[in-house]
Amino acid sequence: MADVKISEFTASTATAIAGIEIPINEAGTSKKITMTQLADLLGFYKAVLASSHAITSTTATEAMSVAIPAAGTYWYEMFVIVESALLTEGVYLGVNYTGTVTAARCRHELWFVSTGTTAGTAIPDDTGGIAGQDVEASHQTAFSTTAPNLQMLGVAAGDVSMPIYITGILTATASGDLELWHGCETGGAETRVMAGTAIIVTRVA
Amino acid sequence: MASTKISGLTGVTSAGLAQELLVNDNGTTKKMTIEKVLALIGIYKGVLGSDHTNSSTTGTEAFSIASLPAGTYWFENRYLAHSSSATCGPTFGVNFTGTATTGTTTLMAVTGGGGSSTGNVAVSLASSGLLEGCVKVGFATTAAIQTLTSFATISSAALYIHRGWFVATTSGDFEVWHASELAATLTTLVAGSTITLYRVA
Repeated sequence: MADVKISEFTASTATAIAGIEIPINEAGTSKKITMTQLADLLGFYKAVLASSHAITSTTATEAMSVAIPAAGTYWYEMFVIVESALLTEGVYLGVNYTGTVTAARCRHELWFVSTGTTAGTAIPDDTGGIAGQDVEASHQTAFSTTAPNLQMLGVAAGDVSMPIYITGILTATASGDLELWHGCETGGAETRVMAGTAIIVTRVA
Repeated sequence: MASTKISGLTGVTSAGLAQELLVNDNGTTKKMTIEKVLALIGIYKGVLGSDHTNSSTTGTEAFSIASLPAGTYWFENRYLAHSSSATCGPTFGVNFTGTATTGTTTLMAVTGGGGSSTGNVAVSLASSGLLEGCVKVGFATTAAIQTLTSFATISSAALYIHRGWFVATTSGDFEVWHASELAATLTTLVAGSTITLYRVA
């Protein structure tokens, strides 16, 4: 093949990274690298919940997850949208990692705008129409699955979406899945993690 | 050299920052390291390799990211830290060694405060905590750095989030500094704490 400048190639119209390979120089040897390998090095992993995860039990189940391909230091954010069918039925959430970790270097927390202004309520609000409402929070050292340890006690309004934020830091010693678990406070009514809930993981090292 | 299709090349075992990519630079074919690609995208990351301890109110540098170019930056640091005393908090500051216009930095942590601020950082709390914080304009090194004033569970790390921005007009190092709130009281910034910087302009 005659020499061709890169600028003269046909532009790729790929919409996904699968199947894309890039030529690379590795210490003097020409090789190829997959776009997936390059994305891993850049260190961003994302997932979005395609359909709502509903439950009526206090025994939580997994709502969604992100695969983490290798050992490393990560921090993550979960932008969670929750609903409850009943004012007195809170949403319980848990974070879990299926690989091995250095436990002393793993912490996570949950925040939400609550209905409280001068005293905590543990109840997330949906409209936040009052200035100066509290941002209530939880903080945990341990992962949880069927018995979630990030807990909200009721909701401000039934069947209305509330924004919840979870963030954490993780030192993984092996690959695994970072999971969001979801259960009910009492099991008296349905709670939901809504479609569009997203997880973004950043690999730092 | 004989032509070889990309698919015919040997695959790398893993990606590395020093590996070089083939690029078109405004009509000229050149090579570029993956590290350079990351820098152009504007993302810089660092992790604390071993615990940084301090029993003094005088801050010392814990870890840094070296040789940032001029630009406008936003940072998102995640600290794991603990204290040997329930009445003493670890304190933090950020600094830039080049010339910079300092912005505002906010340090946040979850406390056991419920609806009222306490400054007492929580470690294991399922509900009814409060997100508390402190705000500072400008960098800090040995003195006047940010803290929450007490610690619920001694010697078990809590997560702190430190966010802010600055405008660098020359290159320099971005540093995290750490001290103890009280003299002669050990506080520890735990290995695995992170710096993430985004160059936005």
